[in-house]
Amino acid sequence: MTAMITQDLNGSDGFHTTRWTRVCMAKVPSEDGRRALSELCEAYYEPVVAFMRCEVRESGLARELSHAFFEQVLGGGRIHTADPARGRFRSYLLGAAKHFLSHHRESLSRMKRGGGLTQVPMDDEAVIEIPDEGLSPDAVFERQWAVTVLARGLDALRAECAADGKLDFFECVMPLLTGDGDHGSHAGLAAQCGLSVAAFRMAVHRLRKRLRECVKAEVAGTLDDPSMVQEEMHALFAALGG
Amino acid sequence: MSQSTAHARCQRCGSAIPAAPGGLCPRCLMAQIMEPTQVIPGAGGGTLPPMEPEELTPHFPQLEILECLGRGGMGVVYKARQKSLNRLVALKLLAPERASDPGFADRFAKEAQALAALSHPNIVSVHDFGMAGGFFYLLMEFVDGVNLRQLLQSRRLTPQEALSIVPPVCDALQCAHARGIVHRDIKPENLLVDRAGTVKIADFGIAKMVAASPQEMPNGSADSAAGAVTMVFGTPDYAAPEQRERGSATDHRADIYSLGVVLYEMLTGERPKNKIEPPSRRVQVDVRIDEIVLRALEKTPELRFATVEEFRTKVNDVQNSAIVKPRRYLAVKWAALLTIAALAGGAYFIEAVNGRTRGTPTESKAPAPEEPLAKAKRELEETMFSILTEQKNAALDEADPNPVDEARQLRRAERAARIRTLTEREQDLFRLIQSLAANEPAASTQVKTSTSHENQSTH
Repeated sequence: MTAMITQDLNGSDGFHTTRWTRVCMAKVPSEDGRRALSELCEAYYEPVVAFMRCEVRESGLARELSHAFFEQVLGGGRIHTADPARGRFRSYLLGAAKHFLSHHRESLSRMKRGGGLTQVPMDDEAVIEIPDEGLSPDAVFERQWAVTVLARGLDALRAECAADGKLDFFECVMPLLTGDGDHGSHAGLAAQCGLSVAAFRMAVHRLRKRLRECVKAEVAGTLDDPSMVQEEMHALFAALGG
Repeated sequence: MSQSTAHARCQRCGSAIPAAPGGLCPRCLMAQIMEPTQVIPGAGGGTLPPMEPEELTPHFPQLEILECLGRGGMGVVYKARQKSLNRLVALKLLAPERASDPGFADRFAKEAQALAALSHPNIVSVHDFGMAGGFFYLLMEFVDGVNLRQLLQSRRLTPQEALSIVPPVCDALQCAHARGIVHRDIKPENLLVDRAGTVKIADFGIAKMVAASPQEMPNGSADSAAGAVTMVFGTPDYAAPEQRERGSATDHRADIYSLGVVLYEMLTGERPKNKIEPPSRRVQVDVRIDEIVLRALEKTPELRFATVEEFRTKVNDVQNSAIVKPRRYLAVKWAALLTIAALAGGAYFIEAVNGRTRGTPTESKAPAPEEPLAKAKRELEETMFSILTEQKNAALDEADPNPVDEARQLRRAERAARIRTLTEREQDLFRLIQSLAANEPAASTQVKTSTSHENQSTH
């Protein structure tokens, strides 16, 4: 399980095959639905960890809890509780994580009453490790979700460029994707890539456009209804403070 | 993907970077790949990168084109030097894809003439206009400062600062409205604040110039529809309801609405939603401000202020009755300067990054010419901050109801003297920075940051 989750996510497989729709369509726990869900969970592991970290304020425990959570989701046949009407894998995963956490806390308190277990101490190191930015656990989850979506979009783009034999160009241009390049000089980078300045700018422009498509495809994979992509993009941008 | 970098701040947008994909700021990255808001759906999203200054030089022999300042829905703006008069100007190239449209040429000439006749200290003046190299261009006053959007992104304005922006904008709009000119696209990007703290409205009437009837809208493919075509009715979030519904059949009250949106955003940090929540529910402001904002944002034009003059008067009333009255223009000026400094820092950072990536710098700029300018800027900021602190203390002192005894008198006199000295110092630094900035390439010689600095203009 751990190996599956921590395996290299940069591989080119699975970017556009992780479809929330496939999960939703699998009314009974089927092999295809289970595989689709496991792919999605693997891809969106980090937002759950971020959420847990914000809730329990301790990194190690957060990882453990996330691990247990995903194990339960994948093993416990939670698929049938996925409600297609909710439309978003993002909402589903956050709801499930909250549910899991509240159960976990309940069982903790039950054990406390019976056996006098102490709460996990918040030692200084752990507290320092988690900066408090005044964000709610939900907001932290959503922000990390947006970051993960972008990272996966970038990975997909990198894989595409690598397939076209343009990996060097991608690595060279990647820092310009945030738009910094509009103000700096492109001459040096263009020369490095063996292009004229005008051609270079056009290439950067195209790459940015392609990234938009990759991110949109990634977003579409987490939605039941493809017409919601634009709305979801706005939600992600808002989660990043945009 | 799982790297959780310590929370660094993005040099560009200032937001905390939680865990950066590929080391890039996620917010900036997302901003770049969002669909441009001003592009007409179907007109083929995305914008072409602006032309390099060198590419434009042959078309504008009278100008020395220095750098591209940015692009908006209306076109691309370059900083340039007008050779004959040796002054800095802003060159705006409008919608190149419209060059072949005869209707546009007529509209452009008519509007540009009206704009050139508009002369007001709070309006960016138009020096010249015409067509060159297939571009419709406007040659405008160069405003050395920031736009309100940049200011708002750098920090939240206080309610006093937000209010202080409104009267000059109203004055300028009144001047234009009296001549039958409506801006149609009032938004933070079009409100500039220069280094002296003066607010100036840019892009007057350009919305109308670029606007076309819906039938004229290009339906070109992705690549032929070069550049974003701004909607007929300005920028959606700031456009009055009647602009959205009836297109260009609007009057000066559309500007009042847009200014209301800007004021709302300055106060609360957000644009009004469908159901407008009064600003006082979100931030601590005088309830009379609610009344002003809500009136400007009335859906029916008849219910808004009849004129911008009226808008201004209401704002002035609130300003004048505030107990503590700091020198607001100074506060805005200070904020503008800090933003300029921050942006300059960002640009420097980008240069540094580019320099590092390309390995060999294409041209080696003198390593230390920035020093006197940077020093002067820092000193200016410090001086302004001291002035603001003194002024705040003076205002608090005035508001103090206790009797004014001898010791307090003395403190007041001393404070007044300090403010005078600081203000003189501020003026001197200001002049120094201007001359250093004007001579930037030549100013590598040691310049004394003293009060008696000679202007070294070499041009």
